[in-house]
Amino acid sequence: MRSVPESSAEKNKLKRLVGSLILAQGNVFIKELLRNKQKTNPKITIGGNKAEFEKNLAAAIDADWITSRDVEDWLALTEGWGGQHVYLYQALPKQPHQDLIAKATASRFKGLLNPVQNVSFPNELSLTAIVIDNEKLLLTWHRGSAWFSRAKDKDRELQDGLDRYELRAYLEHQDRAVVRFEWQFAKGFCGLFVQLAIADPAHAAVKEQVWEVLVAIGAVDGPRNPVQLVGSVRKLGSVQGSVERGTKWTVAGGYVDIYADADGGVAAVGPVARTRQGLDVDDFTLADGQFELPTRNPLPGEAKVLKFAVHGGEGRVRINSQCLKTQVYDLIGEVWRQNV
Amino acid sequence: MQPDWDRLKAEHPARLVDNLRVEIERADTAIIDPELLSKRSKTGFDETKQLLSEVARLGELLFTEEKRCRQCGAIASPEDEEGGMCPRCGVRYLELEEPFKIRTVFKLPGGRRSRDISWLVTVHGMNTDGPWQQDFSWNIAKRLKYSAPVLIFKYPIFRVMALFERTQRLAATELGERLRAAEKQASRRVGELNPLPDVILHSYGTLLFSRLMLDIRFKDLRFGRVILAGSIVPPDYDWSQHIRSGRIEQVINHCGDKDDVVYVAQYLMPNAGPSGKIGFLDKSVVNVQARGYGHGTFFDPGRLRTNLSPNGSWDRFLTAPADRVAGGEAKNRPERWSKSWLALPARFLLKVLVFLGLGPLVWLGMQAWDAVRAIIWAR
Repeated sequence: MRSVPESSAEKNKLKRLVGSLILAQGNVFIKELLRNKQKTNPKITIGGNKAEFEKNLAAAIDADWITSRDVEDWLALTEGWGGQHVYLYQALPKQPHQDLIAKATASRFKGLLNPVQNVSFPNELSLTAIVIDNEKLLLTWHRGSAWFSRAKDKDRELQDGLDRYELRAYLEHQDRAVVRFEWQFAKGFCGLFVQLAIADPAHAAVKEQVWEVLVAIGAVDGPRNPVQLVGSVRKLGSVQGSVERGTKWTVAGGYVDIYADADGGVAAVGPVARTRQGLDVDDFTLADGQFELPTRNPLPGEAKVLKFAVHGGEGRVRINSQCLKTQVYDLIGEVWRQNV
Repeated sequence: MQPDWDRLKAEHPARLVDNLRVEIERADTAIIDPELLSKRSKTGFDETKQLLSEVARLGELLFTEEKRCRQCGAIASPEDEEGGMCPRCGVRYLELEEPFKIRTVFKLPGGRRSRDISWLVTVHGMNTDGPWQQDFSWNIAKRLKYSAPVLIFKYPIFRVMALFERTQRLAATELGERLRAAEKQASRRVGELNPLPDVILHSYGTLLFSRLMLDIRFKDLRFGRVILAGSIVPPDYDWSQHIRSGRIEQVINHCGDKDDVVYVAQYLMPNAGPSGKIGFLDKSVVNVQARGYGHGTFFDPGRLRTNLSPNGSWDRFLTAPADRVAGGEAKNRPERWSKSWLALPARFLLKVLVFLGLGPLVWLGMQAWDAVRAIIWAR
């Protein structure tokens, strides 16, 4: 935590940042920031809705109870985690992290190495940080973006001469997308965590860019493909507590698609369950699946299950639920374990 | 409250009521969709919904309105709404003019309660080598459209040796070891609610299984439904202890009203009794009466086929919800039963007779063997 109080300009900047993040983040995660700080400072109040969170956060920032460092730590844990696509790769070749730092320092990305602050909103997806320490190699991209929601109460009519117009109103929302590539040295895999829609051109671009950066900083010799996750799709439905909601099994010349809406997924609909049991999944070359896994020690109000889809052939996991970094790692750890 | 189906049939289309009743009693899917039920019953949507609402008021169904993403139709849970994004198509709900469409569904309060067969174990009686096991295996394979392996447990036919407790123990031990080996090979399949084996036992097989369950060396073994036919387990056997400890899901005792063989069992072999005719005292066991059945009738090829056909007795035993296994064939429970005081002396006398009869035969056999050995030695 910073010992020097932040200036009022810094505080205002932080409050604006927090205001925009509140719009993008789920209530439970915003509460998490206030709740954690409340443990050490009982004067902090939490609130019950986004307006109250914003007011209470602003008050805590003004009183120096919450600093930009706190927000950064909180963002690292919550922002960009959940509601994202994850590609898994085999772990990179091992090398001492000091060597990696030395190579990165000598590269053109030197300026991004271990930056102090990382809360920008660039218009284009931009690499904003490279963090190398004794536990991990982490690359982070950010992009500010806008999207619109329908605001019917602002619709109006316009009469211009003999012409009549109907003007439909949309409210602009600011959003911040995060892409991370993280290799935790203790793990057998590394992940590219992309919080961009699959149809967004930046999505495909960053998949290539990550390897350009990794080659440039000397972490790897050349680009790699994501690990196929067909094995996971075959086995995830058997994991204790999991729900298989739907699977698609593809073989040359055809496919089988199974889906169940009911709580409990495929197993809760007899005819669908029996059809699923009749499939020899090893006969199929590719597999995609939608699953639910229970979360470990969910916070009050937080999702008790994580909803996700595995696109086996692409090696892509689509996490649909909002969740914390730890929960994302629990989930992809299970996907990885089942795939091996 | 249980719906009065006859009254409902008088007030609503009969076919609709019948179809709904079957769906509720079979409980094979967790959801009853009024649209699909009306199509199946060839009735109007509104009258179908009216019937479902009435049954829901009686507590047999839960009425829910599901929010679904207007773009892709995926269910939007409260968490999805809180997150603001459709879990299937990824659209932000706020971006849609009308984010949700509401769909009315009715759910079974207990969810899906029917069950699927994971794998099966069959154990035959002592008087045959169980040709019915092959027929059973063939019929069950034809009945199910997915694969459910059948473990056919065989043991030597030892009519005389069945009189001894030690032989029972040895055969039960062998059964336990085979089951343990099979359990290791069986793995849970996706879509399976119940990965445990169901057990079909006949006559002496019922006795072996009951002894196995009491053997602490095999307390790790767990089973789904246990179906007894021509049971010679004593009627006062405590099955509840195994159900309480989670080792057995349910016990169904199919009794033959003409099965008099089971009465004789207690006079021939230890630990036996006529439960295959009079039923079990234990309240957790479902005793089901099979009219006109003798000791082996259960496995006549025709009866076997009928019993395993959809909604046949054994089809219900294996797949129906626990409270529906008996259908309309439930049998009254015996109020009391005690071992016949004649059983012990009868078994003792039988053993003496066996020894007396076997003694000379064994002596003759040994003499013959010695003679053969002497000839071979002389050469």
